Amino acid sequence: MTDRVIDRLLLNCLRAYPRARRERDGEVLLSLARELSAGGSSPWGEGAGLVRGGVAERLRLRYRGVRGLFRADHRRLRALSRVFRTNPNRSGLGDAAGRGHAGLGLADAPEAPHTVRARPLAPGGRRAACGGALGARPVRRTEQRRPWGRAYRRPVRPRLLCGDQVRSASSPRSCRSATRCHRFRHRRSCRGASPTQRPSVRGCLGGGGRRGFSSSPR
Amino acid sequence: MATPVLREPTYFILAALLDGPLHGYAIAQSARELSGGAVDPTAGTLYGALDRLAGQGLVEVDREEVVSGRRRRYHRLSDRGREVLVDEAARLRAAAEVVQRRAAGVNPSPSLPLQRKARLA
Repeated sequence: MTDRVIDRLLLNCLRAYPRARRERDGEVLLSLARELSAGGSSPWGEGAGLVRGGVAERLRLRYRGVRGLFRADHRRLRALSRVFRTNPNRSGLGDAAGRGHAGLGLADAPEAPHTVRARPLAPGGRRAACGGALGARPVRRTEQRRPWGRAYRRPVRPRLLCGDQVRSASSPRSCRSATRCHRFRHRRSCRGASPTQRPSVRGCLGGGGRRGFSSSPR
Repeated sequence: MATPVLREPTYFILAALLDGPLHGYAIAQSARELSGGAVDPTAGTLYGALDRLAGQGLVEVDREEVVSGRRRRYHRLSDRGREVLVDEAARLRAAAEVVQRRAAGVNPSPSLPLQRKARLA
């Protein structure tokens, strides 16, 4: 592994730390990790140490009960945190972290028996837990609350068609409001197009009648 | 303030700082030597430990230097850190003596708790 690759690896792992901490101590920490890896320590081990330290730091900032991270096999994890067992998602991680044991054998979850493993790998489970720990985008509640074992379907986002009024949104709008028309893939409104180009004038203007496009221009 | 509990890595990190102010890499090397290889801290572990010890007042930041393009931060042991480390060493010695005497067949029947006995020693 070249020095450049090691630098990139360590730099990426350093991003596990909160921004304020990185700006304050990132250079010192990175120099130390480089020196240790140059002195015979494994760069992967140093990178893993940075990630673990960064995640622990984030968890400590968010949940005051967290003392640090540790590895645990799934049996120990279940014994430690019944909350996380029954609710293996982001909120479950938060509950477990509030009790002082977070981090939580997520890395060891694939080693668990299949029946147990299915839970952390269920939609919104393991990803949500990792995402919550790393400060990523929260997972939708519909995904969190879906019972395990049921077939999972990704929630369908309403597609905005020309002339469609988005009634579920806070402010009704049509495709004229600079929104992409998903059916015809044009960004602008079809209001100014010629009659042959616009499939449904009435639909585009939102002028009542039939919504959406017809297959042939009228 | 309550005496913090020292775990093995923390104990050897503090022991490494008995010689004087050291930077992170030197602390890691020294801790590895002193522990006979049992403690081999990574950068994240060492940094977290030093940060926590500084928060507890056992370690202080001495200075920062840039050596061959690398920024080094030197830490030194505070007076309280030295006191805590010596107390912990005495406690460990007392605990070891109990086991050694019992293993040798001598009944020590300690009248004082280990912690108090160590402080009186």
